[in-house]
Amino acid sequence: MPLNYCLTARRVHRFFGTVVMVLAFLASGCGLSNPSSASATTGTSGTTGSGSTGSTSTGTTGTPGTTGSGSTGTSSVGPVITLSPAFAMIRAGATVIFHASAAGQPLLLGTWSVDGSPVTGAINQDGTYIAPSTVQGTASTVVRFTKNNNLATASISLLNPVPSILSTLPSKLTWAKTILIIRGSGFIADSSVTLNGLHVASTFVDSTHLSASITPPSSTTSSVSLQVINPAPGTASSDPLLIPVSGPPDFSVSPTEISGGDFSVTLTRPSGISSDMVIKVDGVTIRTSSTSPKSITASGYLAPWLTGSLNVVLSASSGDSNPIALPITPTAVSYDAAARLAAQTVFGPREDVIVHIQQVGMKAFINEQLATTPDTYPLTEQPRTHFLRLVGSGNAALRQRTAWAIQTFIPEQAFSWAMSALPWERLLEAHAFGSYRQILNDAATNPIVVSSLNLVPNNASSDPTVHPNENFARELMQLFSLGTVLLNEDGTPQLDSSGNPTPTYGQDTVVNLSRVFTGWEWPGSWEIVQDPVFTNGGVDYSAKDLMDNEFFHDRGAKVLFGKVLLPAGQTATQDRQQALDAIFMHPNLPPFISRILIQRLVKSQPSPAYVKRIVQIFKDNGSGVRGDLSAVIAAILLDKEARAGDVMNAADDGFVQDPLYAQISAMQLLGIKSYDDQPTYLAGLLNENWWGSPSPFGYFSPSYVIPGTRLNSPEFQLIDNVTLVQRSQLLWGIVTAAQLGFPLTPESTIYSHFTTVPTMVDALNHMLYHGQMPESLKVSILTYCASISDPKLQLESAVFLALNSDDYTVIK
Amino acid sequence: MTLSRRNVLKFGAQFGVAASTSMLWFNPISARALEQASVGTDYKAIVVITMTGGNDGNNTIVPLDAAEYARYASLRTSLALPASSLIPLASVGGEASFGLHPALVNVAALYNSRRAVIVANIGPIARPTTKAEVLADYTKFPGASLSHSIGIQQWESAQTQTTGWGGRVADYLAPRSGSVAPVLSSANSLFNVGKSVQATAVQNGSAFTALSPALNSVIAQIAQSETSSNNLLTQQVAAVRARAMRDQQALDAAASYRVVRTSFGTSKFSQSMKKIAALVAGRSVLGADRQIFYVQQGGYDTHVNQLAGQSGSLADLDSGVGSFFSALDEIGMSDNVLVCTHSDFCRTLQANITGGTDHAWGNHHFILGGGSRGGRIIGEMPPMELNGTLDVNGIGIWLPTQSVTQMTAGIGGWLGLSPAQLADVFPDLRNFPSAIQLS
Repeated sequence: MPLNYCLTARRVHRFFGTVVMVLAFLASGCGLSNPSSASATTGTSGTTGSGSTGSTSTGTTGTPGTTGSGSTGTSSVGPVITLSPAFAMIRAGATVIFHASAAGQPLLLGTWSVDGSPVTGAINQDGTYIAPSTVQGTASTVVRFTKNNNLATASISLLNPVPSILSTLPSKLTWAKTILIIRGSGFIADSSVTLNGLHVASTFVDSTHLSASITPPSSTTSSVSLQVINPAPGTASSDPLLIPVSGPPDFSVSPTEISGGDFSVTLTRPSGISSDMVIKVDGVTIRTSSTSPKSITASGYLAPWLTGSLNVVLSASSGDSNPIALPITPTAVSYDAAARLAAQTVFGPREDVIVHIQQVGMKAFINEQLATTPDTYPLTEQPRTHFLRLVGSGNAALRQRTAWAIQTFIPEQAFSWAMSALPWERLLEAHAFGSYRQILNDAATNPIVVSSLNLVPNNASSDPTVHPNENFARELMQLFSLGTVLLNEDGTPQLDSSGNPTPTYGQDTVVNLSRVFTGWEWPGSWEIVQDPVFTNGGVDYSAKDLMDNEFFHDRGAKVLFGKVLLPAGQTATQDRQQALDAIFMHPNLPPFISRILIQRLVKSQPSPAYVKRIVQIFKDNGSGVRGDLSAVIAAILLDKEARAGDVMNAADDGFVQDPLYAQISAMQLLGIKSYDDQPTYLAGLLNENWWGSPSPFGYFSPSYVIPGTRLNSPEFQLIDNVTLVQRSQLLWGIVTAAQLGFPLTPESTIYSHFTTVPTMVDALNHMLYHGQMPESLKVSILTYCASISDPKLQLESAVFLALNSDDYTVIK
Repeated sequence: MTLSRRNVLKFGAQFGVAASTSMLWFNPISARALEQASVGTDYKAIVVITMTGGNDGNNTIVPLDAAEYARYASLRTSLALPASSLIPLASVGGEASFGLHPALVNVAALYNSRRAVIVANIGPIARPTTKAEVLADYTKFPGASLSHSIGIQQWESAQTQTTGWGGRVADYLAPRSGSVAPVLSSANSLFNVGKSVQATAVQNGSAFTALSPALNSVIAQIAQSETSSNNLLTQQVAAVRARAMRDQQALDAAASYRVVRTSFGTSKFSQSMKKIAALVAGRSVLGADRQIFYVQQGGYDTHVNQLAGQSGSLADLDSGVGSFFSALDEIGMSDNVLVCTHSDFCRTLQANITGGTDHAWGNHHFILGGGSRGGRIIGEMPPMELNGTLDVNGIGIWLPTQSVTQMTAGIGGWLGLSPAQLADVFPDLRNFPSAIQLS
């Protein structure tokens, strides 16, 4: 058969490029393969070879001559065939009969077929075309009639079916929210449902069933009108079905709408409240707090991710009243999107923050955070303990989050004396939303940071046998500002013609910069007034600056990056100022810092376009200011790539939780707000002794690539098959309070309101996974918990498994 | 073939059924019984110690020849070690004499008993290189960046970029490493990463404590399922976890298989070497006859107060290495295990103003044990002069005269890689006359 032959030929064509010429010819010689080529093949001599012999001796197949649809058959052999109708519009599932004729005489005994691959609809050999039950993809097709190598075609447009409603379940409505099952016919995936002419949310089940979420309007008297509408092509509505609505409830409810969280409702019933009456919300009895002769007040908890409305009834021993629908107040953003932003801004599911974001929206929340004043740290508590407290209950958690982001690449190597860690953290929190130029200045003046890089006691050398110490100069550029290779504005490396990266600076710049940073001494060493709390070994670690000693400053000229000249004779302060300015203005700074900040807050592998958008803000905040971190942080968080995951995570989304993040997010979920200093040591057990970095290189490298892949994932540097096992042990210790310093929190939101495994898993899905917990994980948790009898252990196991899953280890 | 226990393991590893056979050695009694069947006599392992921060080779190996020592002392000024404090190395024939840093007691003893070699002035260069070439365009020489991260990357990859030389050697050894990966590492490093091989992490104690077997089982099951997550990072973390649940049990069983009596120091490095000795002793439990161990030992970034800092770090190194060879002697594996050192870079010969030294290039390293022909220095020690033919910037930054590739390829050869395999693992090898010869 020509059809089979052609299909075979095309398949070969696809696999063997070397025979394209021949096979392409064969394919184009086969009219079936391409309807638009029909006229081109019409003129060829389609005379040889019947379909049954399959002769291909001439190299052309036995192509039937064709005609246009119902039109004149110009040069074909034999009589001109006409189809009637030549064009038909048919509803899905309907039939139409085609007739073939030539010279006014009916033609019988030809072959009917339907065009397309796959074939749309079907045709019987008596010419009866049966349209498919639904319209999918292209809404048109062609039928063919072939007789004696002559062909005629007719075209068909397919229309959506006309919907029809038979009945509903339930058949009567109340004032309550109801899931209505609609039975009928002609339903399609795009069918919509209206109630009294207004659209309501509906779900397609199959062609004879829809379900819809219905709340009758309060003005309803005795019935509502239901319709199903199918869209184009062939837009059509069902006849309306009138559904009776039972009488209004004999009580009123106050307030008239409620929000997520703890709520209280009062039902007032003119005919009186009897002593056995309680209030049920969506079928669950809530706790009565007071009753009076005509009213009853009760309180409950509404999971903040719920939307729509709740059914409220007065329930007595004799039965339930007619229900009333109590709408849930819509929020500015959904709980899931708010929870995701909280994961990016405040280290995880801090409940009060999520609810607040829901109410005020993302942009307002970020602006509020950017406008906060820095928290003060009391001197009566270890700074790291207080940091955890602020993150768990303070009002400026985005400051702490941003400060920690900077701590990872401008780390402090605080020593065992705990207070030594505070001055650098305070500086970062104070300047987190200021200029990056200020951060550079801080890094060059804070005693703790510079002490690990020997800025003090680096001095000018008049002795030819020694040279200035290069440590601070080199790492200031490599780690704190520019990186080792030149970058494009989208954060990718600039490559030379051989594909090699170009160094950002040479040893000459390192040497010159090492001479810039000479002549600085510890604050406190000469000063009379010191802050004794922060003074250790004569060094005041809280000082705003080092002390310059011009005698030890190298006053020669210096050249940086081969072009920035620092003239001879300048003071240590002048040299430092100009060198930091040169670094601040270096074109590598915006992409190097922007990409790191994106990685810390949103995702390890931002697209080059995302980086480039942030780099533009870093270069100019819109008011001509370079390095404005508040504009950069806001842009990073509100970028379309950052927010796309609110709807659906992408494959390259997310970052691996570093140990401190993992610990805090577990504490946020569990609502742990009261503890001693012990929790500050936990991340150190997983190689992240925060604020006490083992080296100037921090805890992980921004450019770390997962072994054996091309995936950039900085925090993965702390992941191996020992630390992952240990992380599980520690998480289990946090959840079960076996880990020193972590209390149980039965009063927390999660334990006080979600007391069964299924509701707990639902809560974890929203609080940790912003509604995107994989079904397989839900099943694993439910199955495991079902094997445990102790209800407390069941819930703890569910919490642990949700925290421990690597779908959550990667915050998306 | 006789289905010896080891062959069973190899079969398992090759055909992906290790998880089922591995159940055998979660039970130490089964493992002991099976060990009778076959023990590899062809066992070879290497231990690569990276001295993080950039060890100052100039004060690690010091010339004792009077004239050369005098030049050393005048150029090093306050950092010069007194000649009397150095441990003399036995010189062969008429060779110049050298001494080791006074902290390297055990290393010197190994050298003087001809069980250790010194590789002189070695560093990352892709081909024999002249000072003029470097001065013409330093950007063509990554080793000349003098950056910690690039120096480490150059050493541990043997001058490639995305895989480590340990991992690439291990790609060829994987069929002989038994139930765990051929690279057992106590630190995250590029060294460990092969084209297919990724390391199994080793820690000093056991990774397992509190979780019930049922909970461990569901963790493993969830991790296995998440290796096919649609998120790329989740896939990777889950893959590590899924393997961890199996490997860490196997390592615990191997490390506790045989008691090693030699005592080790309490430092993290010494304890890591102790763990490696225990794993060598328990190698039959894993079914391994080729293994690569990686460990880091730190404190060498001596920009200030170098004399005290380097001395403490070298003493820690020496103690761990000394105990390790005692332990190898105890279990009869001294000639089967070879130890070598790496570091970010050497340090400037000239001191800086803060009593320390800064980043430099060509350095000196040790290869110990493994039955290699010891008591010799491979290559030439650089002359003690600034601005000479080997000093690229006037403060004593040595241009390497031997490549990392030559040293590491020599070790690859010791492990049994064929010339073709060596050429594949060490792409720069063809640019040099030969790898160093250890026998």
